[in-house]
Order: sequence, then structure tokens, then C-alpha cells
Amino acid sequence: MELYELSLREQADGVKSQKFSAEQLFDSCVNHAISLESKIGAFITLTLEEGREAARRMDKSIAAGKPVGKLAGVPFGAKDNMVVRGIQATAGSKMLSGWVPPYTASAIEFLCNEGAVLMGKMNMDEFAMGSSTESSAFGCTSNPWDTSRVPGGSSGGSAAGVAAGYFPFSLGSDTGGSIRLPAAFCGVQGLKPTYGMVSRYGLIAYGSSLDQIGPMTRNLDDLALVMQVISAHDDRDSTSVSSCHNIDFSNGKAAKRVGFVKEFKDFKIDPAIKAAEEEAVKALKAAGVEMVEVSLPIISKYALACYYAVAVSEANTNLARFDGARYGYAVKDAVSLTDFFTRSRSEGFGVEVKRRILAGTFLTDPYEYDKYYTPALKVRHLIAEEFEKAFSQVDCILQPGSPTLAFKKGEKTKDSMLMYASDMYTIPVNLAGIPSLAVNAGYSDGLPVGLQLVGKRWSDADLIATGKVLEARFGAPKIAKGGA
Amino acid sequence: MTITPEEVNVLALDARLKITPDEMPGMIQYLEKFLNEIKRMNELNLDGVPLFDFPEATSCPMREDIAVEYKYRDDILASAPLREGDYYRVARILEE
Repeated sequence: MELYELSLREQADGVKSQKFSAEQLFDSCVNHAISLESKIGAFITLTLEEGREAARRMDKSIAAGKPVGKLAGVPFGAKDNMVVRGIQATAGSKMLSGWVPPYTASAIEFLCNEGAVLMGKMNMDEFAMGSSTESSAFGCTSNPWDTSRVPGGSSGGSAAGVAAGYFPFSLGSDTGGSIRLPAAFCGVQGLKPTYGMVSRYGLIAYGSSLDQIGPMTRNLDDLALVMQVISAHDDRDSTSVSSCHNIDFSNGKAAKRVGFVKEFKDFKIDPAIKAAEEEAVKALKAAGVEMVEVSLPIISKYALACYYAVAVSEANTNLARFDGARYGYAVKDAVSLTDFFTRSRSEGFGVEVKRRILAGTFLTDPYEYDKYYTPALKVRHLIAEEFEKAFSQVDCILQPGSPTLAFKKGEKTKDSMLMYASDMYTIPVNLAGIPSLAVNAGYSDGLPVGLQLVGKRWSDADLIATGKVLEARFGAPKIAKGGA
Repeated sequence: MTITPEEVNVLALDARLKITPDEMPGMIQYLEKFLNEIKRMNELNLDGVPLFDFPEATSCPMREDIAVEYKYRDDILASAPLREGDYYRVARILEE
């Protein structure tokens, strides 16, 4: 077995016990990644020099008998909307191409403090707006199981990298499913944590009340370890909740009662996902779990509308900062300030981002605000309330990760609303600020099948424990060999 | 709901964007479909429903109001697309 094939824990243990060096591990992962990268295209920026240097420093520390962290020498990738001092951060956009941030995101800082080694910044939909990675200004990443298909989005590069064995874990961000959808499409485990659990400091904002950073791995033990490291309170993010960080992610309580959603039964879904769901129910029942029907009528009918109203309104505000004056793309020959702003933004942003900015401009217009945005915030309250009611009956909910398996490139790019429907099972979670675990549930005709466990706020560790029942049934995700 | 090119241009002006004639039909189609989807929420009776907030968001966290020297000032200025010495350069405000 090659070093890159080991799990995160095996890699860290091997480095710490000097079975192999951090530099050997880094080289094994890099050589494997480079051998596949022309087919997959998961990276925007490779950090080979910085990574190898960090690996060498780790080896020196170990040789000198110094204490090392939980993630000693383990390579990882981070979605390109998380900043690292001195390394280009593009958010998948021409607007930020070449921008070198002067500071580092807290989540990445926490990982590096525990000895993790950054291998690169991963491809993504532009400003995290997409479900397929096709809106990236740097080209679409390919699904490592079938390169004619998308890896899901927006954290497509992060998921594809883990699935293809580039590294044992990566960070993604999830505003409406951007960790869980690519996790399902690429066949990896992924967690969208409770809002407030992982610091958003250094995450380039899309929808600030929805965005959350989370891990992707090839098994749930590794996922628990990454969560243990990144879920620290951070004064630099005012939404980081200080009182909820003494959680042992490896020792959650598995659910005794699991819900299935009455209204979702009528939704059109790929037969392979339906079959996997039935298998998951059997596995849970065999583990002594009671299955209980719950009803989510408002969520199933109005969550998509509510989500897009909130998301584009927040996106419009967040993206107003990109004006070409302080950083990012700027035209050089503007004749006036208005011309400068307008042309810099129009040339710097891609079409999907412009669509969402215009929709957000409309919804937050002082004359339209109370017609659309205010009702959306009320519906969002009802959605959170409906989940709360469901969680008074069950410990968590089992549902599909997406309505389909990974789709073909170009299949949904012409119709944004069709693309948005890919997120129908994931967006309610972000609206309520609750956690959700994407779990691989095997493969159908060579493509991964994904399921999702949704829990109440701060039940992240319990979701991982319940997820392990499914992982035992379906097996931990395999490494994809680079697609057809 | 129908949207006209003139309405798109008004929105674009507010958003500091320019929509080209090639982009216009797609943008109109998108906005119409988007707003029709959003309008679905009008079916609900929302009288008396509070606005959403997170349960822990009871107060805004505050820190001491103390000036701290920022050590990466030069790095930030180095990101300026257009620069003159220690200043950001922007286009003239008044058009000729």
C-alpha cells in the first residue's frame, strides 16, 4: 500500500512514530495527485514549496523530540475561498485572480498548528455560487469516478481531491449544500457543522448567515479528528459561539430514533439513491434504531424559495466590496469612477455571480425589501421551528444527499433554476443553522451514492456516531482511480 | 412576472454592473424564473411570525475599544490594482 492510500490517522501515526517521514508522505501524495491532475483538475494553486518546507520542519521537530500535533505531517487541501497568508486566493473568480491575502483563515491556522501540511487550494464554483464547479473561472473539475461528470459543488475540488486520494482530508464551505453535494457526488464523507461551531474568519463570504466551513474525509473517524481541531472558539468571528466547543467528536451518542420525511416520499429521486436509503433503514433498524415518520410541509415546499431570497440578498451585500479599487481585478483605462467600478465588476465577475447580484439588488431595493426579503426571514423562522418540532420526536433525520447521482458536465448549466433544484435536500439545513452529515452509501454503476443525516443544533458528534452505523453497512469510501 | 431590459439596466446601474446585449435575454429569463420561485412564499400567512435569528444571538459580542497597530499594512497596499506611493489610485470622480 502506498502512503497516500493511508487514512488520516494512519498517516499522522506513521509520521509521529517515524515509520516514514512527513516529507516522504508529502511526496507520495503530491506524486499521486500530479499523476491524475491533468484528468481531474482539482487544484487552482499547488503549494508544493510551502508544503514540502512545512513537512521538513515537522520531520526536524520529531527528530529533535519536540511535541507535535494531532495531524503531524498530514497533507490537506483547502477550498480556494479560505485565505492563507502569502498564497493566492481566488474564490474561483477572475475578480480575485492573482490576489495574495495578507492573513490566514482561522480554520486553516488551527489545522497547521496541529501539524497539518497544506498541499494546495482547491477549485470551486465562483464565489461558491454553484452546484457543479462549472462556474469556476479556472475550468470545471472532473468527477474522479467518471471524468465526463461534475464533482458537485461548490466545493468540487476539495471533494474530488479526497476521493482521488490526493490527501486524506480537505476543507470545504457549505452555504446551501456545498460540502454535502460534492461529498455525495464524489463518494466521500462530509460534515456541514452547526452554524457558529467553526470560525468563518478568513472565509470569503457568500451568504454570511448561511456559510459554514467543514471537513471532507474518507472515513468518519478521520472526520471526527478534523472537527476536534477546527471547532475552536474564535474571537475574530463574532458568530463563533463560545459556549459550545467542549465536544468530543469521537464519542457522540448514536441515534435511537431516526426520522424519515413524509413529504420527501413524493419527490422524484434516482432509484439508486432510493435503494440505498432503504438499505440504510435496514441497517439502522438492525442496530436497534426506531424509524419514525416526521412531517416537514413548509420545508419541503418553501425552503428553496426562502433560501435563494436570503442567499442572493446577502451575496449582493458581500460582493459589493469587490470594486477594483483596493484589491482584485481592475480595468486600467476607466474614464470616470462609475466607469471604473462598473467595468471592473462586469469584467471580473462571471455570469452566475452577476445573475445573483442582480437578483439580490432587486430583493434588497428599499421598495421591494418588505415584499420579498422580510417574508423570507419569516419563512426562515418557520423552517427552523419545523425542524425543532421534528427533533422533539427524533434524534436525527435520514434523507438523500441529492435527487440525482453526479450528472454530466453541461447538463444543467443553461438553466440556473434546474441547477438550484440539485440543492433541494441540503439548503433547509443552512437556513436553520443545524448540522448535517453526508455519508457515502456505496456505488451504482461506478458512481457514488450519497445519503444525509440531519440533526439539531450542536448534535454534530451524535450525527457522526449515527453515521458510523451506515459506514459499517456500506463500508468507508474507496479511492477513485481517476475516472473513465 | 415580466421584466424588461430597461428594468434590468436600472438594477445593473445600482449593482455597478453592465449587462451586454448578448447577456440580456438570459438575464431576463433568469430574473423572471427566479422571482416567480420567490413569490411562492406569498402563499403562506406570515402575520405575526417573527424574523429568523439564531438562538445564541442574544447580544453582539464586544471587545475593548483599543487601537492595535496592524503589521501587514504594506502587504495590503501591495494588493492595490492601481497605486500612487502610499495611496490607492482611483479614476476621477467628476466626468469631463
